[in-house]
Amino acid sequence: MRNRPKVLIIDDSEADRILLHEAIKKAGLEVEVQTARSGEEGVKKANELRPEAIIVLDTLMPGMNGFEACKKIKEMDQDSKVILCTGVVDAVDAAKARAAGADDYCVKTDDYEAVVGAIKSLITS
Amino acid sequence: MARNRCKILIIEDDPGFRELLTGILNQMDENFEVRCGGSYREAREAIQKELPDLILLDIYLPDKDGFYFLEEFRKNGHEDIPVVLVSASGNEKDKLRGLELGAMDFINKPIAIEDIRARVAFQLRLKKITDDQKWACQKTNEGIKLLYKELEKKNKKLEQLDQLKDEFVSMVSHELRTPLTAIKSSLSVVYGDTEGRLSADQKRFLEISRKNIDRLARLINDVLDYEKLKSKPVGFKMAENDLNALIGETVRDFEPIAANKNLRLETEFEADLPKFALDRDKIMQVLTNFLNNAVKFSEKGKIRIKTARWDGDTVRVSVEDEGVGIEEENLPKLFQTFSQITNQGFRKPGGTGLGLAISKSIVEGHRGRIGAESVYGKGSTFYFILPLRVGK
Ligand SMILES: Nc1ncnc2c1ncn2[C@@H]1O[C@H](COP(=O)(O)OP(=O)(O)OP(=O)(O)O)[C@@H](O)[C@H]1O
Repeated sequence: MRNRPKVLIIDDSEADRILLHEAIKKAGLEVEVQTARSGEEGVKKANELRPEAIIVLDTLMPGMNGFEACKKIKEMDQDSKVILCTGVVDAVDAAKARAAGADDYCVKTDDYEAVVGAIKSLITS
Repeated sequence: MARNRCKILIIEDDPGFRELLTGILNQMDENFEVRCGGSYREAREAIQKELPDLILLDIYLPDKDGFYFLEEFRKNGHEDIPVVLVSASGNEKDKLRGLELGAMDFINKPIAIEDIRARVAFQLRLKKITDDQKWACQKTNEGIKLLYKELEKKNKKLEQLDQLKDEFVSMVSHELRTPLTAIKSSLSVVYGDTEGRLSADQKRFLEISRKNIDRLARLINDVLDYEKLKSKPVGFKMAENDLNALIGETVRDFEPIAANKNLRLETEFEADLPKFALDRDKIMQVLTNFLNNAVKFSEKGKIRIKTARWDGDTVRVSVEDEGVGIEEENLPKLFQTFSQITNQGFRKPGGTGLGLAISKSIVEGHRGRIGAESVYGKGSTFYFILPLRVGK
């Protein structure tokens, strides 16, 4: 059997890490989930997981924020797949996400519908 | 990644020139994906297969000319893919026509390599900016739509909870009323027929119980009234009434209470007031609430009850006291549910703080408006304004 795809959740909020993990399980995605609590830790882990991890990044984090982390990850590896997600949608942030090289930008709702959808479509692409 | 590889389509009938252009582009950036076509037909096939990021288009083609292709391309909705015309003519008329049809730029033959590089780079940069903006816009819209959906879901849940709360409150109030009535009548039996058998103290305590049961009953009635009004703002018994007469009656009932506190009641009635449709009991309830409060929150002076014609076809009823008054910051809170304001230097009188909220729904049920003005320490005026013709 092929290795299961890896998903790395980088979010400073523990609730978001746990709930998103649950939502991924509930959606029936066959993936291996890892987590990181900050941009700095996330970039390190992303480097170890190269090349096949899908990285889910929160935009707002103390220290290195999601946009910076995304840029760093993309600098290490153009082909990493990064989803930037946020609780507050904002057109300026969306443009920033694009400029940082994000593959997707989506909103975190209670059921994480958009984030899970983005992971799914990156796995199949 | 697809996003990083720029796709450029060259439409040019001269094979030598095609090769030259391809070479220049590949030299510029090895990531460019260059495809070519030699005629209008091949151009159409190419764009049907995949849309490029930039098209270099020769004006002179063997089957149909470049203008024809350009016009059709734009008409088919491909507005944001830049097309640069390549022509040997250097003809001003051709340039104007190209611009009109939606070309973004021109390259003249014979070509200068630097010129081509600069123009291609510029068009691709513009294209990227447009693409990025479109992407950001689309992602934002998707997010907003989702948030909106979620908000609606939460709102529905809140509405359900609110309804559950209403049902609960009204059920509990109803359930409370029955035992209360039983206690009240039993108590009045004891209180009534025990001449001599009760000590003065026992009587005093019985009296206290009776007063507090009355108060409890009033509170429960208030809650029930409010819930009823909230769930069914209609259900008013509207009938033609003489407002002045109705107010006169209500005020007369208050005379003993006012006299008790040495307060004078004064009335001033608008002489020219037609009868009009209102719910007599409900409007009396509002007035009673106003008068009760005026008496409760005054220690001296007079209370003026006045009716007057108001803006348009309306009448304003006001109750003005010379009591403790209300601080300005508290005025907006007055008509909210359960709001009781601590009037300084005044013992907090018992009540639910529902009276004014109920009054507000009654007045609004008549399509009227309720309000209050006050100078702290000088007195307050509570008023409501009713339309003289409700509905058609
Ligand atoms: N004429 C007034 N002068 C000063 N304060 C007033 C006056 N009328 C109302 N208020 C303030 O508004 C508050 C709300 O009044 P409302 O009639 O809604 O409830 P209540 O009098 O406390 O209780 P109840 O439900 O028994 O009427 C009062 O507690 C009081 O602080």
